[in-house]
Amino acid sequence: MRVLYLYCHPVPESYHGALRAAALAGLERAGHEVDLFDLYAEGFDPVLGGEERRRYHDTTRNRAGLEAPIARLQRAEALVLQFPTWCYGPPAMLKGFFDRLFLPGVAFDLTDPARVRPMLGHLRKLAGIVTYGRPRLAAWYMGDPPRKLVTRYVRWFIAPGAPVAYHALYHLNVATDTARRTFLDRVERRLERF
Amino acid sequence: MRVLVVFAHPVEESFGSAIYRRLVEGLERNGHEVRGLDLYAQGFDPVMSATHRRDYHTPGHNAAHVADQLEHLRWAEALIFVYPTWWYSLPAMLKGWIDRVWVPHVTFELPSGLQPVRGKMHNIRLLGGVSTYGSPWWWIRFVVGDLGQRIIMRGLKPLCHPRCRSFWLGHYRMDSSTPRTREAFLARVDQLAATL
Repeated sequence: MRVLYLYCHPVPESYHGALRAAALAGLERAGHEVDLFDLYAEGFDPVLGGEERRRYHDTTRNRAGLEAPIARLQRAEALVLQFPTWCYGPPAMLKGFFDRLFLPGVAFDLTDPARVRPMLGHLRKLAGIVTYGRPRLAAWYMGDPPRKLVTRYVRWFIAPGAPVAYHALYHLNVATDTARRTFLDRVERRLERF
Repeated sequence: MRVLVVFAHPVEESFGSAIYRRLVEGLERNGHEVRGLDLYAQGFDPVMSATHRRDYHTPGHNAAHVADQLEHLRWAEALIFVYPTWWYSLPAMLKGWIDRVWVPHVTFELPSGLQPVRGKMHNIRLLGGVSTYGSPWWWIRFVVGDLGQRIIMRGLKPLCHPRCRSFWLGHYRMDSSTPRTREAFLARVDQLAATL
């Protein structure tokens, strides 16, 4: 499958760098063709600007300047999202990816506002790889925005009934080396079977 | 009161901008001292860089990246957010302001175990939000969850004064709003500014 791997972390030597290497190794062994979209390294601009907001609902013009990332999204058959939880949610960089690219006419059809329809049915698998600094209870109390982002929000746009996997490591602030290693191995094994 | 209004909307002629202006004018009219942080107009960069991330847990260094913003935050007795809810949450611009400005050791101390985060922004005694939503309120409240409001009210509020008061005001179903609903909402903003 053609997998779009959406990666969001600024620091290459971080735990996320290691997680990414493990996940990519797993995907490669499974024989997938991976398009790595490293938002930070590619200098993606997450800010939805004034002009873009004004033409947001105009499906003939709202893709201007975004053709390349939209083409990558539309070419993909599966999507993997990897990011840390900052201040209880996805980093601004990732939030901006959705603000700017999940447009009417691209991700959903708004022709009949009473019946909005998803348009990313070409995505037939979805996985999230997410770390949290705080324990799971704290994330739950906050409504767990990262989990909702993957398992409810992005899920709505993709093929109905497509399998969704969510791999989360909670309480990373105090995680032991063993816990980190275990999660790394788990992610690699799971993505081997993606 | 010293009120800091943090605002994020890219379009000047938008309803969101109208809310922001009405709120600031209303607060000033009622004798409050107001600072408006218009993040788009300031050209605030919401992206936490690799250097800032590496410094994030280091006292002093983490604050140096956003010293001017932290000065506003320490000055405030009330903090009010004005923003459109996009995809059930904060626009990237505002999420990035929270990611970058609310740094540890200055705004909170991280516990090592399961205890709650210990807040350090006790100068803030009132926290509020005014937002617009495309969806109806029951969809936001009962189905998807208001993730932006949660991050502010459950994430930031515990970092403020222990007896911090709070409020939330939302205009729902923006896509089917009319001049009448929008004017009624602005009147509620006026009322809010008068009773703060």
